[in-house]
Amino acid sequence: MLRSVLAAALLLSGSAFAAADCGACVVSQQDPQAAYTKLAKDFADAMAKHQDELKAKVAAARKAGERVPRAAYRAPTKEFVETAQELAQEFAGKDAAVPFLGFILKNASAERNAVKWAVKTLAAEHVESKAIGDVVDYLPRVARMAGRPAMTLMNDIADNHEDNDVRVKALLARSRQLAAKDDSEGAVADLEKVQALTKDADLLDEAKEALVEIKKLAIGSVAPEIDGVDVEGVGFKLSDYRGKVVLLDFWGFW
Amino acid sequence: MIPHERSLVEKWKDRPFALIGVNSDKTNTEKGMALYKEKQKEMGVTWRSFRNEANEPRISDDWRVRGWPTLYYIDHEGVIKHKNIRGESQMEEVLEEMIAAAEAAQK
Repeated sequence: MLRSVLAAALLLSGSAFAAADCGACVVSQQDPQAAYTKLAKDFADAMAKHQDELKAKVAAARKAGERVPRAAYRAPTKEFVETAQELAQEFAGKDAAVPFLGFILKNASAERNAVKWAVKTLAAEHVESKAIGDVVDYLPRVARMAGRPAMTLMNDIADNHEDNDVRVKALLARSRQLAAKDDSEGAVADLEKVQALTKDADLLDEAKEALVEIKKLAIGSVAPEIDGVDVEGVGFKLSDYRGKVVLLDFWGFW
Repeated sequence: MIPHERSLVEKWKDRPFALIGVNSDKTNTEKGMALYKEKQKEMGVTWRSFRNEANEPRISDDWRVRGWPTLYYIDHEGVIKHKNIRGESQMEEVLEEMIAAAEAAQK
């Protein structure tokens, strides 16, 4: 019994090796989902280990009165981004490649070329697929590393994708980015499009909440009340100053 | 920044204008508060500030402040008119206009 299980296991692993050896093989023997799960887990483990080591280094340096070298802060993203790139190539042209491209956008720290390549590949091979909806959230994150192509892709999906669910995801992601840049008009326009395009209750809620939040602080809205204390501990309110022009200044000496 | 703000407070002291700060220094510790008061005197901060740390959630979180300084221009009716105009001459131009509107409303 035991022997036959072992033999089967050997046979199985044997076939996997054979596939790996077959350089010209187009058909991959890997299960993309399992490969992604493994990549994500290995990455999470490596990041946790990096954080622990960094903490120890910082503590040791503080004790010795030294500075922690900058390199110690660098997260070990490079090898995982490379693996994701290999896997994306293995499933090139298929939806299965998209999560690996998304992984690169989500986790790259300094791998600018890989990010540029991932954006280019998404735009060239996956822009029409539904799978791209799962990675649009990461496009604003790489806007600086990938430059204009990341925003072009984002806009293309948000404005033109055939699938409404995918468009809605892109519109939500873009509205967050616009709101962060203080472009409340642009953000509101995208959120209103979301409301027109989807019937999904969760997405509608998300859009509604975001609209309330943006309008609360938008130009033309009544400023939210502030009920606080001054540095002497005396309570006062922003509305105490109605009738006067108020320049409200968030500041500090630091 | 601070010298210019002080000059605005002085310039419009008899008109409907108030500079209100939301101070984000670490005034929730004794040492931080002492440091704040020392600096306040040294830099000539003559206007009133909310203590950001004293509110829960912090005022800056409620107002989604992402960078300091952040400026809101609020008119005499409490309406937000402008955000983050930082050039000194443009600040004065915009505020002058708003103050004139506040005075017109008083009449």
